[in-house]
Amino acid sequence: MTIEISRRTRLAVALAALLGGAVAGCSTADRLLQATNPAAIPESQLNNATLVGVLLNSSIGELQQAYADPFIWRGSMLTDEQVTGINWEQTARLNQRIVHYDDGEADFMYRNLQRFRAVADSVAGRFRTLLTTPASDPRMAEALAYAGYGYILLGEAMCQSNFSYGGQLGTTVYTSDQITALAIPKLQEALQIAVAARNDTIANLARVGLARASLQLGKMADVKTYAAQVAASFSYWVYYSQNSAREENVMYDRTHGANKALGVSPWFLYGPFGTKGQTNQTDPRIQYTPDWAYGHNALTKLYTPWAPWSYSTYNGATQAAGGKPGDFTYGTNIRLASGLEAQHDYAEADGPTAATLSFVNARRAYGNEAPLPAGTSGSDLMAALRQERGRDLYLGGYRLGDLRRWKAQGVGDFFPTGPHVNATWGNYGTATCFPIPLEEYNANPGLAKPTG
Amino acid sequence: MAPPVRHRAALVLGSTALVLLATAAGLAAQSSGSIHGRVTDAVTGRALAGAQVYVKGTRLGALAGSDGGYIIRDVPTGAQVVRVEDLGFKPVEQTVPVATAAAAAADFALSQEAIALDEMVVTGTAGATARRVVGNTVSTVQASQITAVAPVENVQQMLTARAPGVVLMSNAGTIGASSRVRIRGAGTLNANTSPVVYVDGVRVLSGTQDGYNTSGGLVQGTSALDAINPNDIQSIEVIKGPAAATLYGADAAGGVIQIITKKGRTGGEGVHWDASLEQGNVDWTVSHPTNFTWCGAPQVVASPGNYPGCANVPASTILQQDPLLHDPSGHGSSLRTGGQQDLNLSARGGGANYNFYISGEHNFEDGVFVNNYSHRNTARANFGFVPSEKLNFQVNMAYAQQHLQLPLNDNASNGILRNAYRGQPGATAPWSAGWRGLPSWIGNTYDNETREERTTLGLTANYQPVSWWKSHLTFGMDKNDRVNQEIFAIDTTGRAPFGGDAAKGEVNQFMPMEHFWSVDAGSSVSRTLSAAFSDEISAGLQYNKRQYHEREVNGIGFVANQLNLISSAAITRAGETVTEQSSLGIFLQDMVGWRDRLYATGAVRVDNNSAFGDQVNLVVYPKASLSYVISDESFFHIPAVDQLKLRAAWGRAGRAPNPFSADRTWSGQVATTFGDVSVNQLEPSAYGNPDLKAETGDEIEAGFESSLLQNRLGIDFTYYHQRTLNALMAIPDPRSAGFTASHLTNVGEIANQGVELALTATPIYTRLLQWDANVSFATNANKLVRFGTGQSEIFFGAFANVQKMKEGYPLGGFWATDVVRDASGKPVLNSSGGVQVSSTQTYVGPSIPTRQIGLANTVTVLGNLKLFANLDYQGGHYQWCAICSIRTRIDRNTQQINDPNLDPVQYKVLTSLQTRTWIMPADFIKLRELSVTYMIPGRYLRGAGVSGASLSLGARNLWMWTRYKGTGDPEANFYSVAQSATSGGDYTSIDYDSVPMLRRLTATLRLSF
Repeated sequence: MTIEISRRTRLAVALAALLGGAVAGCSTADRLLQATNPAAIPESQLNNATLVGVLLNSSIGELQQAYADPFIWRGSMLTDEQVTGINWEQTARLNQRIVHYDDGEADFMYRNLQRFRAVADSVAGRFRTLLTTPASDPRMAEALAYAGYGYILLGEAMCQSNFSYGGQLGTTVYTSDQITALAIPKLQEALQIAVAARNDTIANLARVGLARASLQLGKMADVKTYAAQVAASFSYWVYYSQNSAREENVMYDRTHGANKALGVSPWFLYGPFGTKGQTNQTDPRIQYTPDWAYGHNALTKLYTPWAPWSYSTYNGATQAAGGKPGDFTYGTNIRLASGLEAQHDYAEADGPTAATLSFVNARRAYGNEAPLPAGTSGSDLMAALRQERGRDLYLGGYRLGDLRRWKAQGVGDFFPTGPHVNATWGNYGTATCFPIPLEEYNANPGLAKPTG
Repeated sequence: MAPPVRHRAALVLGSTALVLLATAAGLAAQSSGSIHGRVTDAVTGRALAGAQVYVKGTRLGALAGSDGGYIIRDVPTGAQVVRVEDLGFKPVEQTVPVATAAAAAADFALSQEAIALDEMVVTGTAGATARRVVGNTVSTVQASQITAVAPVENVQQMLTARAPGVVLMSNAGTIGASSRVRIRGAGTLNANTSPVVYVDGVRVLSGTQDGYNTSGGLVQGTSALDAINPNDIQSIEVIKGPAAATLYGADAAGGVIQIITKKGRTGGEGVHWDASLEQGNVDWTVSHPTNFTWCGAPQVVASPGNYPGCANVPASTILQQDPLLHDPSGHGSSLRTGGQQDLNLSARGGGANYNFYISGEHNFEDGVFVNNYSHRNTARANFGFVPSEKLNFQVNMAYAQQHLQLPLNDNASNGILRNAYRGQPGATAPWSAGWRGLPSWIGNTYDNETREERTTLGLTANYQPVSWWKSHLTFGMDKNDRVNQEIFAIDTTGRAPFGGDAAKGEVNQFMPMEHFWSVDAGSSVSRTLSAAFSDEISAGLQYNKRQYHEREVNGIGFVANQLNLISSAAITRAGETVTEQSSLGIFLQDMVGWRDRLYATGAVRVDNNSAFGDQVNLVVYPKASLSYVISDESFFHIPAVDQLKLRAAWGRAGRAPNPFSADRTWSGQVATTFGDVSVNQLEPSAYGNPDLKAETGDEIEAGFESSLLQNRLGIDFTYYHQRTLNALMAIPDPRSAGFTASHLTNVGEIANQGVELALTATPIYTRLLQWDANVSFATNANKLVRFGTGQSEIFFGAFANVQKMKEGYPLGGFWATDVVRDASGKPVLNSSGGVQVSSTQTYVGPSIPTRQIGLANTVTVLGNLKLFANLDYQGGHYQWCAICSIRTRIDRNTQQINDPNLDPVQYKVLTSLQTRTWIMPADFIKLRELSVTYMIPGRYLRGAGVSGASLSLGARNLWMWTRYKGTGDPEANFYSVAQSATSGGDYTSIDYDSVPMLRRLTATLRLSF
């Protein structure tokens, strides 16, 4: 009996040791636990010279992801460019100029713009070591230009922002102007390198960006300096495609199908809101369906716009002349920067001058509008300039920045006010920008959450 | 076009079973004599079908047939001890003399046993162990008894209201929709709160499965458990928390469900056939919203042009419509009565050294919408081979095909319910009068089908060379291949109801393949330390590997609807996702017994998991338990108490994070450049957390099991207190760093505590009348004790942020805003006469039930007529009726808001953004199952070759009481698939246009041969 117990004990111990040994053998265990992840690469492996092209594409791709939506579609919700037919309640409230930091809309705007900004910043930072001659390499210039635009877009859309770099969560809160100011050195360096590299396209992109940022900051002399150097024919595009769902321009979905949601607001209509048969649309820059129709929320009367000037499928046709305006498609590209934008920036910085009057009348002629009365000047001229800017750059991603700038610089508050076209929604609220979202506060306990 | 369906697995499965059968039959031992007889209930005299009869010390045995009869062949001559066991009855032994070539007779009369302490349980232990040894509660669901009387179509229904502490939160009555399974509340903040599921010792896929439009809550997710034929299940064992689940290691903190399928019995019993045919229908019987428009309402007065139905009628007119049942444009009802059928055939038996169970099933169910149905075909072959007394093999194979079609509901803009509930009588409508958006005859054209092939294989070898040493080795594979397809025909309306791409004709195929591989090895050595003490030491190893590979292809732009192959489309796209995760664990357990009544068990398990990245990150899970059958003591004399077992257990189990949770990564994406050229790009994907640790659940439970009043009453009581440390919580990635999803972090502590009580009673136990009652009662108090990471709260919700993770409160509890009120509770009006919504949120209550009662009654009359009823109560929780809020505030189509006599201030309150009104108590009682079964007496069956027959009429969800004032059913919830953790994951609870639980009426004929 004693011997048997001893054998059993030894067997038990041996069993345990065998199993334990088998598992504890680290090499075996490691092999068993090996798991591959072909969907991703560690961030630490990005500093690789063979990835330079892909990294630059990353900045391009993230701008593509952020630009049509949320920057244009959601951004214009706060402005007088559109009335929304969306059924999603928080998005609809955005169209009433109501946005709270815990709304998903705030996160949508912030996270997409921040991802573009962070990727563009990251790419530009990596290029300083990955490129052999960054000071004269156009790819360095392009990367910096994208990084600069990252701050421009954030500055125009966000009320405030913080920034995290190198794994350190940032707790410093920047105002819109401070954010915009961060764009300038990046664009200046981009311009310098692009000139050195004789790359006019990137140089002009940087110049338009510098003019745009300077205009927001009220640095009118700088605006004129940069804008004056941009050729009138210059255009720089954000590209879209139907090659994959990710690459599609979301403005197509917003303007087509049963669940369309984007309508021209009363401020840009040719007739009273709610009337049908508005065929006398003479300005090619603002063209829309003559009859309203319901969309996603089955409530808002939607005059669906045709592609305006900032879009690649714009064709200059007017319905008043019996033409068929170009439509949005999934592959419609959007202008990020243009000579026309630079001209507008220049004129606004220049003030009510004769050159400005000439520019405004040229734009009015393009829009089949009568010239301004002779002698129009001062605030009337600037108001006319603002009107032409609104029509030239309609749904192009400028209006929110423009309205905020004019309000901040004391030109006037042109945000929509009063009753919304949907009577049950009540009056417009007062939001002019997007707050830092709840998600950032949840992730970053160092940021003090707003009260209320 | 139909996606390819492979039948090879079925053929392999069937042919393998046949080969094994034939081989084993050839090896059958020579007969010596036989034993036959009948097994009956000692009191009622009724036959105990399925009772196990076996010759002790041999591998010979048989199962009693439907008349209670059995026969065991090839029994060695001499005096043999025959033992009979049946669930719920006290085992009986009898010595039977067996002579050469003679048939010995032995009848057995068994008495009921309220608590079966000698019953073997397999869950939570190193091997099959007698219940008396186990220091924690193990709830056993006698599945075969349930399917004999109740209309149960799947495992989800099998588990509903059966075991205390197990709550199935159904998501919708949509056929094929999944439920969320929670055991003992919620012990984790992360999305995966589900228990792990084993079938015959093999880990299987069990969670909610996604597909097209599930992630946005537009279509309900499906359940991996639905591939299991409930008629194949013998029993289900549930262990409920870390104290019991320690040996299952990582993932087991949410509990373990062990499904034990039916087996044959080695011996010469021959073949028993069982067949059943169930025919039924499915109906929507719960109330649903009706739409109103008061022609004098403010929105009508403000915009009369929007309400042409109110023109030329008095302002006092109230228009009323129910487009779901009575389409205003004459299309009739959008709902149908769905058909239902279940056909089962099984055979079980065995020879001298083999046993088998083979079954096949065809099941279909139609939902109430024309594009909702489920078709399931299953096959199972369980084969046991016993080449010697020391060695046996068990091969379990299951194959299932499912074909599901799911409708758009819930959060879908084009969903029928959304557009019916949100219609405005008399108002202009974009598509058809009375409907908010698409009417049902367009919504019904949505085609989302999933074809699924599931193969589960378990190979087990048990080796016991000597009486004191036994070992087992199990290889398992669970393979689930799905093809989820959406097809949109070319739009003929000219209005692109399903969007621009769909209007051109579109086909999408999502093809996830999920494979789970497992190895389970264990060995136990028992020894006698002295006359009083015994000892059993066990060691084991478990290895699990989950591989997930998903491919998606899209084709956009058809030439014609019948040319709908991906390759025929104008634009084709493809995508691919791969993940895998492995875990490896070992355990060592020692159990010391004293005089067969006191058992102390200690164990430790060590785990590693690929989720932790490259670092070796061992996690240690210890456990200890004590079981004391005090009623075996000579000093124990408590009147009316027959048996009493006291028990206590403490243990720890884990929950591993998702694969690659530790790594910060970028993923490949695509960008567009000049000329419509797509190029590669990289994008931040996972923020990661290199310091991530496994979550550990730490639990103590104590209780007792007792049988009283001569086994007429059984009590199983448990108190538990559970603490989750290093709780895995998903927090949003910092957007300011460029990451836009969420990542896991370990936070402080979660607590759950409660009591569970299971009562088994036989108040009436006579030959004429028998009444069996099972009561399960459970409570749960759940609390986030502390974050420990700087967060004070995380709030989330759909349509409004109404739920929070907040220290000191239940996880995912509801928090409401109200209008500002004065001291008397009256709303304070601002200068413009409006109400103001307070920015302060106040706690309303939990989103998870805190009380649960199940009451199952079976009344047997004259041994032949069985009446069965199962009531389910869940309460203490709340539901956010988002659709109520939306209808009142935005659509203004409820009866209340169209009441001309409604107080104007109350009107302003109801149409404000306050949420307090719409977060409602969700307590309910449901009559889950009701049936009457008549067992046709044997005298009518003789000569027909039938040994047993019964006819049942059954119903599910026949009646409901609820405190809920929302759309009808407090169980309806559109978030079936765990949403992004930052939006609340599994905790998001919302009523928004989901199908309620449907009523089923069935008639079932069961035959035995």
